[in-house]
Amino acid sequence: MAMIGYTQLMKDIFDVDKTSVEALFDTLAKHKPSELRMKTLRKLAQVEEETISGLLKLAGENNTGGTYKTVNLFFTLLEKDNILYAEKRGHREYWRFTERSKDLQIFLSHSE
Amino acid sequence: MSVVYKQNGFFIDIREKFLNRDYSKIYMIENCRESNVQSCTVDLRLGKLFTLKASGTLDPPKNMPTPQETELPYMLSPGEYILASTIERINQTKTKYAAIIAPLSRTFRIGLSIQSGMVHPTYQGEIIVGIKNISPHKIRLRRGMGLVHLCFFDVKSDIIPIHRGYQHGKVI
Repeated sequence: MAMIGYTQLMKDIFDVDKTSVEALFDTLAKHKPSELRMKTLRKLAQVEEETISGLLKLAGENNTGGTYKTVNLFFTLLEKDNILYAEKRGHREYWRFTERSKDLQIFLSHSE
Repeated sequence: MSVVYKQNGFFIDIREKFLNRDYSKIYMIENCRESNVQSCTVDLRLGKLFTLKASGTLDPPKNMPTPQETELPYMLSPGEYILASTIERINQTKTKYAAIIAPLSRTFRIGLSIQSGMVHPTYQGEIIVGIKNISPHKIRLRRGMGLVHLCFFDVKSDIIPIHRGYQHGKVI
């Protein structure tokens, strides 16, 4: 006997798949996705795993100060929503998409 | 608020697509709020109240108390016992879950004792619970206040339909 969890309940009651791309975009939208933030996230989707600084360099942006802080805040909020996952290796923090958000990663990696 | 995301030169209104619900479909719980769905439970709200009128000795099923609907908000006196139905309606046509009804902690914190049963896999209708004020104070009951929550369980083997008189919301 297993208890029914949130994702299945949402599917049965509202016919909403919480792991779908639309639902994940809805979560993304709550955290003020600016052009810079989305550009960095798209880069992460393409390279699978990277530090925020490395992603900003790849995107051709300044990788220090306010630019770094705003992306770091965005990624931390997404980590709370189980979209991103951070792994600490020494001083550096490597970010990647979680299993739940694999579809979103595929969508972002192919979008311009 | 609508979110517009640019994809291949077209603008897709994602939030609108996400929130567009097909009302012709039958869902497991009707009149349910998205915010009331918790990690593994669904909160149910107070919809209607019924006072019980009885005379003499109660001898089921011959002499049963007759429920009479009362207006809300209702002031529940100490020791008074009433029946309540929920705003949400269970409609298990596709799904076949069993559910346990448990009181919310906020109810027993103020001194409300809630008596409840179990939801069978083919149940359709409102949830009826008994409420008793076990505190020494009067308690005001309002429409929409959180009352109980449901925990759904998957039933492994096949089930048979139920034929009891108080099922499917026919009788309060």
